[in-house]
Amino acid sequence: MNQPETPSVGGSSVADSQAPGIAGGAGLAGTDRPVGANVDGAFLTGEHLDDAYLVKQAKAGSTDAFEVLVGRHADRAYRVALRLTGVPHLAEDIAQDAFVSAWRGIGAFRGEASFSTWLQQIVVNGARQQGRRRKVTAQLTGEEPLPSAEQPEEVVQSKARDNALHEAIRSLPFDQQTALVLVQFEGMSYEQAAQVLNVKVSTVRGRIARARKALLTSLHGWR
Amino acid sequence: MLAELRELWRPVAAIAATPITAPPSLARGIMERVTALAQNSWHAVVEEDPGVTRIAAWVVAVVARRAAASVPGVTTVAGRVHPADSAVADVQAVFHTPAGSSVQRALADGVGVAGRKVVVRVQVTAGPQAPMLAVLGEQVRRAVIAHVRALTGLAVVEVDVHIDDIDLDR
Repeated sequence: MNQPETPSVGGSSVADSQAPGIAGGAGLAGTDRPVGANVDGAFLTGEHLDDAYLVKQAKAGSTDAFEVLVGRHADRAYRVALRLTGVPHLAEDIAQDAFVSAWRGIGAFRGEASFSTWLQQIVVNGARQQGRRRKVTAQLTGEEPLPSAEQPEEVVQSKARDNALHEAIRSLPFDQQTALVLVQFEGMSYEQAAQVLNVKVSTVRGRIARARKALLTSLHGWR
Repeated sequence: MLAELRELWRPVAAIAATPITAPPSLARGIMERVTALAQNSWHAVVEEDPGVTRIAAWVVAVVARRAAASVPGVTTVAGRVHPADSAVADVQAVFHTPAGSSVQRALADGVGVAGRKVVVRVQVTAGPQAPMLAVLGEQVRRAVIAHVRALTGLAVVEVDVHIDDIDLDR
C-alpha cells in the first residue's frame, strides 16, 4: 500500500502535526501538481483544514495556508467594513489592510480567541480609524438618474427607505453601529460581539438596545 | 404590539438578509501584498545602544549561501535560515543557486521578532572535487558560521548540512 508523502502546506513540513494532510505536498489553491485520484477537491483547496491548523502553518510562513484563511473570511471582513462605512472601495481597503495586518501579526496571535474574532477586531479598528480620518460625504453631482416614472411608487419608496435606513445606521455612534452590525447583520451572539469589541456582554446589549431604539424612531417616519 | 414592531423592523431584517460578497480583487490584492511581505520582511534584530539594527533574512541567507558555495567541492546550494530563539517557528529564507544563477526567495511571517541567534539549514550538491562527504559538511558548517558572524554579527547556533546530491559530471 502506498503511503502518502509527508503532508505539507506551502513547503512547510507538518509531519508532526495531528491535522490531516495534503497529499503530495500540493499547494492549497491553484496548483496543478498531479495528485492521486482518490483526493477530492476539498482536500486540495484546504477546505477540510480548520482555522487553528491554517494559522499554525501561516505562522510558519505558509502563504498558501494564509490564502485559504483569506478565502474563508474575506466575505465577512468586507461585509462588516462595508456596513460600517457604506463605501465599497473603502470597505475593500479596510478588509485588505486587516488581512495584511493579520499576516504581519500572526506570529503574536496566541489563539485565545478564534482567528475570525481576531480578524473582525482588526476590521472594526480599521473602520474606526478610517471614520476618524475622513468623514465620508456623498456629493451630489447633479447627474444622478431621477427615479423612473415607470417604477411603481412603492418601489421608489422602498428604495428611499432603504437608503434612509443605511444612512440612519451609519449615523449611529460608532460603538452602537459596530454592535448592531455584528449582532443584527452578521448574526453573532452577544458573547462573540463582546469578544470582538473587547467589552462586557452587558455593554453590547446596552449598545444594541440604544441602536435599535434610534433606528425604530427613524423607521417610524416611513410608515 | 409585537407584530407592529416586527413589521417596523422588517426593512432592517431585509437588509441583513441581502447577500454581500467580497469583490474578487480583494483576495488578489491581499495575497499580492502578503506574498511581497513574505519575500522581504523577516529580519534578525540586533539591539544596540542606542537603536537597533535589523538584518533581513535574505541577507543572512545570501551570506550563508556564498559561504557554503565558497567551499571547494560544493556546486549547488539551497537552504533555510531562521531565528533560533524566536517564538515564531520555522521562519525561513530559501535560496537556490542552480548553475551559477542566483534566485532568492524568502518565506516569512513578517513579525520580525528574532534575536541574535539564527539556525541555518543548507542543502548542497557535492562536485567532483569534493573531499570525503563528512569533511565537506564540516567545511561548509565552519564557513557558514564564520561568514555569518563576521558579516552580520549574528551567532549561528546550528548549521545543518544536507548533502543531497553528488554531481560527478562537472
